Amino acid sequence: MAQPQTDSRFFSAPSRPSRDSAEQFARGLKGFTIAAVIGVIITGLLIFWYAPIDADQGMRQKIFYLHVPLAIVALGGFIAGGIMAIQYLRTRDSAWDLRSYVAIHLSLIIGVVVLLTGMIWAKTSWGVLWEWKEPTLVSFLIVFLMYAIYQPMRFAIEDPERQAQTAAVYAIIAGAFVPLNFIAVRLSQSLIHPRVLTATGDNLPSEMRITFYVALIAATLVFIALWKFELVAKSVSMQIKKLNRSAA
Amino acid sequence: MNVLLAADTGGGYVAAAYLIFLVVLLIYVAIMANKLVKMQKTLSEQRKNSDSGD
Repeated sequence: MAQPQTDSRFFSAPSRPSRDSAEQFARGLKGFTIAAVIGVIITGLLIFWYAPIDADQGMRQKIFYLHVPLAIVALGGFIAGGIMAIQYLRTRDSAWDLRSYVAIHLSLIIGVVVLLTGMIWAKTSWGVLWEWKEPTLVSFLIVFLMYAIYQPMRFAIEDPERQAQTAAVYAIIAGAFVPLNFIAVRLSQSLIHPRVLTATGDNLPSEMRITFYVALIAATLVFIALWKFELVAKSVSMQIKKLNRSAA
Repeated sequence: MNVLLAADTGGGYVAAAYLIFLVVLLIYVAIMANKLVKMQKTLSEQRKNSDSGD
């Protein structure tokens, strides 16, 4: 029978043996990494050589191809973290807890880039770094702050089993809040933030649309490659700690 | 060719935004690489200890 591979001080010992290991996390990592690198290169070429310069915003519109796909990927990562947390509570397999934790951790890092690039775009388009009356900006900040306390909350709990359970419940509630928050923003009146992707379709010319979707695919591939990379690294680190403990 | 970053339409800001993404990505990869180096060292030490034990 396969031995649990993700046991550590920080992640709960599974009550059921995990079938996952560093080797299983690493499956497809090489393929995703190559695809992500190719995707990023193609996206860069499309952004600066193919997509036309926006007649209204000029060169500054190019931030859109970085800012929006990363925002979508970050929000998707938060939701995925919640779904993986459900899987953890269902199976009690600590590999799902690890998957959820890494997805949220990565989404948080991407969230920092989204906030910073958004502020840069706001500064060059609206003349201000932040607009508190704009629901899109404030709602993303709320989601970001909600997840910013996930890690300190998680590691404030010493008991690994309780830590994983509490983190899973938090990830599920927060993950459910993300689409609700998105719907609320869509229903609200936008102050200055553009609404490019609407229910009736996008308002982009074909070259911009193609570039945007390629950028979105590339951002997703980068996320998956980094997620798998961190999962492998964390899993190996845990196995080494386990070896150290058994050797001591 | 539209590759030139025209300063009058926010080219500098565009460069800054993409630079932030690259810097954050590089910091992340550097931290992960550092952790991998540490793991490699620990594994080497453990191998030495197990070899000397034999």
